[in-house]
Order: sequence, then structure tokens, then C-alpha cells
Amino acid sequence: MNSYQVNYKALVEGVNDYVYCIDLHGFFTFANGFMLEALGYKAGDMSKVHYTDIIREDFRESAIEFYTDQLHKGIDTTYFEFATIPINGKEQWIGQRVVVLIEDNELVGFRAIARDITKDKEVALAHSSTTQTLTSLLENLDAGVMMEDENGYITYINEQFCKLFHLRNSAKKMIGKRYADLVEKSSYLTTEPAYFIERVYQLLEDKEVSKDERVDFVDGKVFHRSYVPMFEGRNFTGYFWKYNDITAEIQANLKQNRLASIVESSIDAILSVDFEGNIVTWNDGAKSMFQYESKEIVGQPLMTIFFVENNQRSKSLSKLILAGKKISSFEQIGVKKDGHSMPLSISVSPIKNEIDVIIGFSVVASDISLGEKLKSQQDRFFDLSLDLVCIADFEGNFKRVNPAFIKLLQYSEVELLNQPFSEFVHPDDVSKSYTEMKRLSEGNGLIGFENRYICKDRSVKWLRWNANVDPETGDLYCVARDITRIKSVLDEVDNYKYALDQSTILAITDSNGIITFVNDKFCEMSKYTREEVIGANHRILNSGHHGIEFFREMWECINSGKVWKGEVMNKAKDGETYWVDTTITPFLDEKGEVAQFIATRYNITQRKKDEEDLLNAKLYAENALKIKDEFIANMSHEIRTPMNAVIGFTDLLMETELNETQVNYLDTVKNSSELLLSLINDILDLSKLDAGRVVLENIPFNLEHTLKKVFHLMEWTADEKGLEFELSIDDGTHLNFIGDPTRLEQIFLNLLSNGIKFTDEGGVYMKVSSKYDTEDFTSISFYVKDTGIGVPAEKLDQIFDLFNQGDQKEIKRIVGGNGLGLTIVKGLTERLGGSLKVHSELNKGTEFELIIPLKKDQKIFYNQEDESQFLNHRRENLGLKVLLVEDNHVNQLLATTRLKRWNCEVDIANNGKEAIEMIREDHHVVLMDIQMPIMNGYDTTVHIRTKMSPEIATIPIIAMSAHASNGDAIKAKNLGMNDYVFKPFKVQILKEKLQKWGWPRKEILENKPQVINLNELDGEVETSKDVISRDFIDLTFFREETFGEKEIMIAIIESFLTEFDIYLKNVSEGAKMENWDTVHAETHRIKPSVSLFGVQEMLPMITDIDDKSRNKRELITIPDLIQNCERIFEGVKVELNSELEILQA
Amino acid sequence: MKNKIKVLLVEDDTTLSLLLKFRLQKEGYLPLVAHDGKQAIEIIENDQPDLILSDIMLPFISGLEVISHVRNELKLPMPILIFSAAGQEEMVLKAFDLGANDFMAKPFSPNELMIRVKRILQTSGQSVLN
Repeated sequence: MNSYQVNYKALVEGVNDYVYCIDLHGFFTFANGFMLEALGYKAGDMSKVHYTDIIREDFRESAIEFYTDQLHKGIDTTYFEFATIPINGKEQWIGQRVVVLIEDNELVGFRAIARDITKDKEVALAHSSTTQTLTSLLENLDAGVMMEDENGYITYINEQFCKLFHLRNSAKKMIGKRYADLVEKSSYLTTEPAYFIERVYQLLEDKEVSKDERVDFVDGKVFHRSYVPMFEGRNFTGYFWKYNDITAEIQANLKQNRLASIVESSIDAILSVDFEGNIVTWNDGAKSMFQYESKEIVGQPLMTIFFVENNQRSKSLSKLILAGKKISSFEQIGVKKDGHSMPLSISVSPIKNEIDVIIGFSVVASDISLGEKLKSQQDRFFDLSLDLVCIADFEGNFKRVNPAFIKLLQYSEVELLNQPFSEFVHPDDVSKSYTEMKRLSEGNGLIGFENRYICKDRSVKWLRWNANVDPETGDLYCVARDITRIKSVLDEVDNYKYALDQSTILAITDSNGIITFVNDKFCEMSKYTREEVIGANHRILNSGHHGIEFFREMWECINSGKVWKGEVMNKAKDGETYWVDTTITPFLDEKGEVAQFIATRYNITQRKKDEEDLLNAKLYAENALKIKDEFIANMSHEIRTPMNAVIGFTDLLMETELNETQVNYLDTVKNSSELLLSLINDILDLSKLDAGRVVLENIPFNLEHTLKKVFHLMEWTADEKGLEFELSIDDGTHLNFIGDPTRLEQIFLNLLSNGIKFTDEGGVYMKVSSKYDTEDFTSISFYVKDTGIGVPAEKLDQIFDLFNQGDQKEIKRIVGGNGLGLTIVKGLTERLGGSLKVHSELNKGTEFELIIPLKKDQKIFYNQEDESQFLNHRRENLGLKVLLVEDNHVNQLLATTRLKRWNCEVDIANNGKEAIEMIREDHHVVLMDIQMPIMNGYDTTVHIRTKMSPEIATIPIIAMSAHASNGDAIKAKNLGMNDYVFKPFKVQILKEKLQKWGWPRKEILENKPQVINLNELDGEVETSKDVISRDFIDLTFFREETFGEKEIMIAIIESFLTEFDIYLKNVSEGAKMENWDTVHAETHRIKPSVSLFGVQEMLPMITDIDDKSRNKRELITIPDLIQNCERIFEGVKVELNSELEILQA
Repeated sequence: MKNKIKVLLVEDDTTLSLLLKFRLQKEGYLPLVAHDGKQAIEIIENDQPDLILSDIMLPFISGLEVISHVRNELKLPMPILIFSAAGQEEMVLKAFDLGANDFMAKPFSPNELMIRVKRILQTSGQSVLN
């Protein structure tokens, strides 16, 4: 690059002009920095820009033309101005000078230097447009205008102004003259010259704007004058005057005023024509009717606005008019400016001059299309109405129907017209429709009549009719509406309502419970009329059955906006109550507060009653069951006692001298008695099984021994029938168990006796084996087979039912039995956790298999020998001294006789208390009944064991009870009794037990008589020390605690005697009133004192009362316990009093 | 003699209270006797005993209420020993919650009670000699 080039480049880049090149296609090949910056392009972007891209759209065409021109004409340099496209937000005007670029004699593009001429352009434009506007404004202004400078020299004046003031010079020549010179000269032109001059000077003086002042000129013209002082900033620069010619307006006003009253107010078109028929005047009515402005139509022929037919009528009319006749109200078609025609009613009068020559005519036209329009509107209404509209004659034949009618019924107009409506009405509605039509034709309006129409497609539509009759023609004008849908909705609502009313009692109350709505069912149930309950508080239904709390909770719930559900007893008007299942739904208002309650209720009185009945029935049944159980338990007990006597005395009788017949009779008596007894036992067992009250024992036993015992018992019966009777036990079967041998015995006794009973030939066989064996348990299989009559297969599943032994009377007669045995077997087996299977074939035999799990007893070796020794040991002579404690005289006699036969000495005590008095050290054994008055066997035993001398306390006691339960036996043993026999007792068992318990003691007593004596001596020593014997109290502890100080001892004893009396009084009272808390509090209080004085006999009772009253159990026994305490206290009192005497001595 | 330790005995059974009163005197205490909870509270408020022996079950105001009154209302710190009976285990627990210091199950030996009284008083900083 040489220095020229460098300078050139710096120049190009430095100038504030656009410097650029474009190629022949119009794309930029170079643009200097200034240009790029001004147009907002980047250097690299420019080559993609076509020159037209920067030219405002409206200049593009001329720009292309310009360049093309330059090329074609070969012009070297041109100048062109254009506006650019705003690229950076502002539009620019560019003025450019363009030079063609030639390289090697060839045209390659253009080079241009351009300048931003926006500002110049704007100024030039603004100036020229202002000047032009002003000039044209002033020249064309229909007013005289004059301006003068601050010194009063005219700077501008127009031609009108010059004319106005009759200035001799043309406007141009007036410029530079003083306006003030003109004022006085021209003032004569105005009607009031003096005022005119005065006013002008005043305006010049005041320099205040004045607008539209009226100036009257002598030639009748009127002007409005405006005066405007001109300021540049604060500097006054001249005046502006303007005179507006308002003469025409004022004249028009006058003319209008005159015509207005006559013509302009008319809505009719009033116009006048000259004799040629050209319009002369034109009023507003005409203007609005024909839409022509006055100036448009005046001068035009009348035919412009009227369509005149070329017929006879028109010709004769013309004749009449031209003859000067007045013609009124003939119809003529008018034509509006927009070409629309309208019917007009025309009146024409001639206008004559003073010499009675017709110079024109006045024409008044009124539009009569309005009337016709009305008529057609009615037609349209008829056609378009959505309602069904029809006209029928007095006989009910359709005369006219509207499209809606046709559409609904689907019959065509032809099918409907002249047909009686009854053809289309639902048959059920025809007669009532005729009745209504008759009423209608008598002149009564018909409103809201509903009937059904059958459409062509056989669908049924409900229509609601309003109709009236035209009294002149008798025609019926009817309007109907399709209400089928409403009807169906209403039907549905009716159905719902009906359904709701059938079952639901509905009431709506406000937030205070005031009833605002009730349904029919509500009235039906409550027996109130609707009028009675609306406005009343819902409380009127309150039955009083529910407490305040119930309703408080209900209100709390619903007032908090929650739905409440519950069962409520309501009271009807007549006082009858009924139960309702109630749901109360609170409805909230827009503020979210409870506005009303909707109560829906269902009558559940019957359900409630049923529930109650059911409950009663259940209670009754339960009660009956309980009574039954108690009855059975009591009965069996009551029956046992006399049975005891019967069996016992039969035994005794058989041991006397008898002949053979007597022996036979007695055998029968005994067998029957034993059968009866076993029946009673079975019943008792069953009732216990039923009640689930069988309590199982858990004692060690040997299974072989148990089974042998059973076989031993049954052997005789089997022998008698000549049957084989065999027991086989698999070798290796575990035999020592812990469980309930008594129940097992019972099961096998029943099972085997059943087998023997139903078998006449063959035998009964039992096979015992181990089925499953674990470390702790063995499931033993007991298989019993007989060769008896068997059971038919279909009866097999019934044999375990009560009193069911194949229900063949024949069998029953032959074999006897009570039918309870197998039921008990099944019940007990299940109770023991076992299962039972039976297989039988008629006349071949029956097989039972019982599988019973038994708990192994591995530790204890069961001494079988001992037991069998007792079993087999028969000795008639027992030689024991026995104390028999028994309240029943029959039993006393029986037992006494039996014992005496065994060479026993018998002492008889009637109750426990007597027993305690009578018992001696030399008694070998006590036989004691459990249930006795005054003092029962348990209490007596406890007393003997705890209160009496060691010699007495160790005497064996055998309990006797008719309560055949193991629970009793266990209790007896726990309380210190040695053994237990059930009444009525088997002679052998009683004998064995007496032997077992009586003999050892007998031996001890016989061998060591001196021991007793020694003890007796010791007792005497003790007694003498204490002076008196104390059976009830033990003062050892008391003495210790009081340090033997007499005073405090006396005080405490006295206190106790008083306190205990009070105690007895309070607890007796409390027990009577069943106030167990009092009983408990009192007993709790007295207890320490009782132990203080060592009243051992009373202590357990006090503890018992304390415990029972606190836990509220076995309360029934408390009065007895109190009574016992009272009895003991008598003894305590005696002893304490004697103690007091000693202390006080 | 003026400085005798005051022991309040609350027991509704006269006989027992006679005996215990006697024993307390013998031990050198000044026994104050109340037969129900109401009397007990009066005595506590007036005389501020050094030790309270009370049955749980009392007429009018129960032993539990007496304990609560002493601890929560009067805010007194003296030791309290209560007598309970079989079946009142829960009441005993409650009594301890309320601030009882010891308990004895009825019927008890007055001897044992006296030993316990002595020990309680020692641990609470009192003794016969004060």
C-alpha cells in the first residue's frame, strides 16, 4: 500500500459521510466505519446486504430505476435522495452521490459518498408544508382576513377583505399600508359607523381576543368579526382580523323559522313543484322518506321520487291534477335515493298565483308501508314462533297451523288442515279436550290446559294450551307449548317424591329447630297436620326417652356442620311413640353458618320392637337354659339322696334271711335303682358337657389299671349274657399318664356297656394300641368291637344324638338303656381332645375307634399293686370308731346300719358344730357330709384341722357328697379332708376307704395310748395357767403389743367389744341394703383388731367378706359369713369379758 | 418434754388407734390422733406434726387426698407412712406418686411399725432426743 492509498483510506474512514461500494448485483462490497455505525451493521455482515435492504420500501422502486437508468444511460455521476430502513431504531434520510466503477474498461459496480440529510429534510418539509397550509388556508377561507404588525402596518391581507371594505387597491398593494388609515374611511359601510370605529380602536388597545362579534353592513350583509392579538413569547407582534360572512345563515334561519311550524315537524314528506313538475321545496320529512338532501333534489323533476306507471289510472290522475283538482290519498309507489320503493299515500293540491293561475303543486306523501309491514310481521311471527300456533273452527277443525306445529306433530300442513284436532289427540285425552273446547266456545279463555297429542311417529307429546275464541267467527285461536320434557321431569320428580314419601320422614328446620317443611310421611307418622308443625319447634316430637346429654351431643354435632346419625324415639301427637333411624344434615349458608337442618328418618319401630323381642327371647332362652341347668343339677342331687336310701337299704335287706322269691324281687329293685342312678348321673354329665362345665383332672394314672377296673365292673354283665369279653393291650404301649382317669372310665363304661347291651351272641372286644408317639404325648387308639345287631348305615350318624339308638322301639324294648351313653362318650372324647370313628353293619356288629391323646407321666411309678390290694381286700370286720357327721336322718340310719354290720362304733353328729363338740382323740375316722346347716363340712374340717388339739386335728376325715363333681373333691382335699366318697356310695368303695384311712390310725392309737395322756396333761397345765379355756381368742400377740399393761389392755378390749358390735350392725345393714362398699369399708376397718385378738376362726371369714365385697363377687354368701362372724363373736365376747374381769380384779 | 416429736396417727378403727397411740406414747412421741381425713387435715394445718401415719381408706377424705393436700397445698415436707391392705396395691403406688415415704400392709405388727417410725424420723433428720 503506497502513501496515497494509506491517506485515502484514513480519509475514507475518518469522514462523517457514508463511503461505500456495491457490485453490479447490488450487494455491498465496502462500507466505511461511519456508515456501519450509523446503520447499525457489523463490517462482516455488510457483504450479505443488498443495497435495497437499507432503502425504505417506498423508495426502492425509484432507487432501482435510478441505478438502472444510470447504467443504461452511462451517466458518470448522479445524485439521489432516499429514506433508509430504520435499523437501529431511527429512520435516516440519505443524500448520495454515485460514481460508476470501471476496471479494465469494464463496469464492475458503483462507488458512493452519501450524507445523512435527515435534519435538512425535516426542516425543509416542515417549512414548506406550514407555508403551503397557511397560504391555502387563508386564500380559500370564506372570510376576510388581515394581519398587521406591532406598528399597525399590514403584513397580510386577502382579496375577500379588500372586497368587503371596498378597497380600491388589490390585496398585494395593500401590504405595508397602515390599517388604522382604513378604519375611519370604511366605517360608513357599517350600519353603526361610530360604534364600529370605537370598537376597533378599543380592541387594538385591549389586545384581547374577541370572537364572532356581529357587524351589520348597510347592504344587508351580516358579518362575524374575530380579532386575535399575536405574541411571540411575551412580545406583541401584531394583530389578526377576520370577518366571516354569515348573511346566508341568518336568512336561512329566518326561512326555516317560518316553515318549521308548518312543514318541518311533519313526518310526512311535504314538497312543492313548479308547473313543469320540478321540485321547488323539500322538507325534513321528505328528506328522511326519500333520503335526498334538499340541495340534491330541488330542481329535479318529481318523477325522480315517484314511480308513475304508464296506465289509465296515471293518465286520468294527471288530468285531474293539471285541471286544478285537489286529489287526496291515492296510492303511489315512491322511490328512495337507494332505489328501494315504498307504497305512499299522496295528496296533491295546486298552488295558484294571485291571478288564479296554477304555478305549481304542493305534494304531501305519507308512507303506508308501515301498516303493511305490521301485517307481514304478524305473519312472520306466526311462522317463526317456537310455540305451536293454530287456528281452528268452532268444530275443532284446523284452519291454520304454524310450522312449529307441523314440525312437532310431523304431519304435513295438508294432512292437518280441515281435520278435527281429536284425530291427533291421545284417546284418553279426547273427551276432556272437547269439554275444554266447549267451555272455550262459550267465551271462556283457556289457560294452561294440558293434553297429549300423538305424532305421526306415534310418539306422545304433552302440550299445554292457551286459547281464546273470536266471538265474531267462532274461530279458536290457540297457542301451545311442548311440555313433554318438563312433564317427564315432573313425573320423575313425582316418582321420587312418591318414593320418598313412602318410606322417608322428611323435615326441614331452621337453625333453631323450627320446622319449615315436612313431607306427608312426617304428618302420617307424627299424626300432626302440616299446619300444626310448620313453625313449631321440632321438640314437639321429643318422647322424653333420651336424656339431655343425648340431644346435647346431637346439637353439638350438627351445629358444627357435621352430619348426625342416630336412632331416636319420637312421640306422635296422640302420645304414641315410634322409633326412627335419623340422619340430620346441616346446610350452611354463604357465610358458612348453619342455616337449616334436613332431617331424614326411617320408621324403625318394628325393627326396634323385633330387636327388643329378640333380646327378650334371648334373655328368656338363656334364663330358661340356666333354670334347666340348675334344675337338672338340683334334681339329680335331690334324687340321689332318696336313691341312696333305696340302694343302701336294698343291700342291707338282701343280707337278711330271705326266700328265693324275695331275693329275686330285691335283685330287680336293686338293678332298677342302679339303672335309675346311672341315668341321673348321665343326665348330670350331659348337662355339664352341654354347659362346657366339665373340669378335667390332671392326676397321674395307669391306663392298664383303669381299663382293667372298667372290665372288672362289666365282666359280670357280659358273663351273664354268655358273651366273650376281652381286653388286649399292645406290648410296649406307654401306660403311665397324667390326665383324667375318671373320664376315661366313664367313656369306656358307656362304650362297653353299650356293646354288651346290643350283643346277644359272640362278644365285645377291646384292643388298645399306641397310634402316635412323641416325647411328651401318646395318641392311644381304643378299638371296641361287638358282634351285635349293628346300626343301619343311614342311622349311623344319628347314634350320638340324644335319646337315639336307631329309634327302633323293638330294639329298645329288648335291650333297654337310656340312650345317653354314646352322646356322653362323644362329648367326653372331644373334651379330652380325641376323635371318634364308628363303623357298623346291620346284624353283624359295630366297631368304634377312639383316638385320645394322653400326656405321658415318666417320673412317677404308679403302684398298681397297692390299689389292687385295696380292691381285692374284702374283710367284713372293720372294727373302727367312726364319727358320722350327717344331717339327713335317713342317711344317718343307712350309714349307721351299714357301719354296724362292719362292727364299727358310730357316733352321730347332726352338723359341724356338734361334730366339733363330739369329736374325740379316740375316733379313728370321720365320715362327714359336705352340705349341712349351721356349719358345713368344709368349715368344720378347717376348724378341726386348725383349732383343735394335734391328736384331734390328725383324725382322717372322709367327705361324703351328693355333689358328684371333682371340683368338690379337690376342694375337700385342699381343706384338709383325706378322701372323698360320692353319695349314694357303693358299699365296697366305702368299705375300702374306711379301711384305708381308719386302720392305720386305729393301729397307732392302740399301740401308743400313753402319748394321748401326756398331751392331755399338758393341756391341763396350760388351761390352769390361763384360768379359763379360750376357744375363740388368742391373746398372746395382744399381750406382747400392750406390754401386758392392764390399763391399755382394758381400754383396748372395751373398745373392741363396742367397735365390733357397731361393725356387725353396720355390715348387716349394709348387706341388707346391698351396699357392698360400706360392707367392704367396715370390714377393712375391723380386720386388724380381729387379728390383734387372734380370733382365728373368724379371720378367714373377715378376709372372705373383705375380698368378696371389694370384688363384688359371691355377694350372696356374705350374709351367711356375717352370721357366722356374729356367732363366733358371741364366744369372743364371753371370753374377752372374762379376760376383762381378771384384768380389773 | 416440750420438744416431743409430734406423730399424727390417722386411723378410723378406734381399737387399733388406741393401741398405736399407746405404743407411740411408750416410744416417747406425742401422738395426735385423727379418725378421718378431715380431722387429719385440721391437725396438720394447726400443729404441723413431724410425721404422719395414715390409713389409705378413710371416711370423708381418703388418705390419698390427705397426702395430696400436704404435699401440693400445704407444701409440707414431713415424712408420711401409710397403711394399706391386701388388694390396695395400686393405691399404694398412687400414694407414693403423691409423696408418701413408706407403707405397711395391714394387719401389721405395732412393733414393726415403731421400728419403721424410728427409722423414718432418723433419715428425715429428726430423732427422739431432739
